Amino acid sequence: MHILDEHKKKYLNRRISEIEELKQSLGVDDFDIAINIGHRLKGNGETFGYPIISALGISLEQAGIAKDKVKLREAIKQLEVNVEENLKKIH
Amino acid sequence: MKNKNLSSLVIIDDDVDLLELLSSFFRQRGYNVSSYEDARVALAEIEVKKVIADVVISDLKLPVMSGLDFIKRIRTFNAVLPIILMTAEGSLEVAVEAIESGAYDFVLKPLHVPQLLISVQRALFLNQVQVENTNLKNLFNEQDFLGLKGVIGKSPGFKKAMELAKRVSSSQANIIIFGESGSGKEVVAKAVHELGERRSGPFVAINCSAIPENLLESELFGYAKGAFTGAVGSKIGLFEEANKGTLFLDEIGDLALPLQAKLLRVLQERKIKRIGENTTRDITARVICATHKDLKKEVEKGNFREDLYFRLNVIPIHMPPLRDRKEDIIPLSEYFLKKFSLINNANIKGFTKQAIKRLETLAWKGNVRELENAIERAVVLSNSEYVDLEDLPLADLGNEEYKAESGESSISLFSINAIMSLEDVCKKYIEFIFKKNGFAKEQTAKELGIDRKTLYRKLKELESVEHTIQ
Ligand SMILES: Nc1ncnc2c1ncn2[C@@H]1O[C@H](COP(=O)(O)OP(=O)(O)O)[C@@H](O)[C@H]1O
Repeated sequence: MHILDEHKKKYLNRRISEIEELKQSLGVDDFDIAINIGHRLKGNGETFGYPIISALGISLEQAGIAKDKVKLREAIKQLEVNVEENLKKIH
Repeated sequence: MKNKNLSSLVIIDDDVDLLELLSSFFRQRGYNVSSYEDARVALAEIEVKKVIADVVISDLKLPVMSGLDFIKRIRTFNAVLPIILMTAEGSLEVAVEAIESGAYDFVLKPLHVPQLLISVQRALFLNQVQVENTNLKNLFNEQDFLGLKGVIGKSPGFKKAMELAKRVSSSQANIIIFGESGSGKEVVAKAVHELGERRSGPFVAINCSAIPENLLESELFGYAKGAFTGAVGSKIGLFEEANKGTLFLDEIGDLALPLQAKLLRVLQERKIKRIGENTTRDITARVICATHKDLKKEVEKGNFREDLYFRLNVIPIHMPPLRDRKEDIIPLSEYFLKKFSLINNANIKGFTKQAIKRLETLAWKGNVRELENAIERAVVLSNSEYVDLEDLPLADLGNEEYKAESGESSISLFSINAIMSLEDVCKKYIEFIFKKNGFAKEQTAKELGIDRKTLYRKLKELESVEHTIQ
């Protein structure tokens, strides 16, 4: 299915504010945020044409459930890189 | 403004990205979409504000009210609305639970949107079939008389006949129903059967005028093997077939005299003998007779046995002709209109004022049967949402009032035989227009809105039945 650039851009920009939220959650040990965001990314990334975002969603959700801060930090980092790369492709 | 011809989707997902994507995807394909992040809001709008939904797509995992809870709540007031659940939990247990709770389908996230589209299209088809089904059921449930499905009427004459039918339904007395052809005599006979204790038994009907005398006898009484040449096996007759039920003998006035004597004996003794057998068999069927003839006159003319007449005439029920119970014409017409639009999938809403006037003024010599055929024809022919004059029969010969008013010529569409099949009506209509145009083919084809080739073909078909019409 073809997804319009306009939709993709909006999708990726929403992830940027989510990444900020995720980073802050690490500081306060609130793992529910990672679980929820991860679950959602797992469900929507691939639909927008970003299977890697779906895969990172799974990592976020699982790390959140395991309260594994190291893995969480790693997944957030990868998400940030991936979102930025994809945004560049649209511009 | 929502276009009523489009299918309406309700989409619920707290994932705003997906909600926007799906809304735009389905809108581009011509759907009306209402989208919600919160299932409670969607529920309230569907239940209270009557937001139209043909199909719902909902996420399973939602904050506050989950997709499953949403289905349970919807089902308390809507048993059929198809709901497709989406979830990122790929477990079989969840899928099973969703379907058991009444979900129509279950799709996994990450979504493959074209697959979701297919599921929506299937669900819409299902919804349409279910809605049609429910409408048909409602039609037969709502408009009934004495709890009888599809029996319509409110005129005093109709009510009197039906109430008498109800009163005698629990008795064993012989019943004879008088009324013109098509007035609903069989409807009354069925009512007697349905309202009484015999409803669990069979209702067997036979038209005595439609079958030659010798065949009729073996139909009614049955025969033993070898009773006559050709009787290779034995056969049970209708008296036995209607065991513990009702045997309806229509057009009893046309029964030949020898058979009248046999019928009288059966009614007196409640026993029959199959042709070619010596043993008698008890019969338990209740016999109901009907005729369009004036049996008293037939007795005077020597065509009907007086003793049988008195035996049958214990409880006479008279169904008046439709022209004498005009109050029934419109309710019946509306009922038939709904019935045939549902059957033909034609979205016809009603009649124009002029059409109603025409329905009320026509003579309906073929009674309810003719009215029913006319409405079926109108539903098939009508080009608009309302049946208009052009879809209805013209004045009939018996209707002087209408003729005077319209200046209609004496060529009448329904003057020869008032009871016709739809096919015959079409043929007669073509013949009517053809004659009216002085047999000019060009003009006739134009007026009928068909091309000349089709007209020639139709006229050829007509030729083969011409001698029967004349
Ligand atoms: N009161 C009624 N409500 C609905 N349909 C009727 C009613 N009376 C007659 N009909 C319909 O009209 C047609 C003719 O009725 P029927 O009982 O066969 O007439 P008859 O036996 O007098 O010739 C049937 O299709 C029947 O269902």
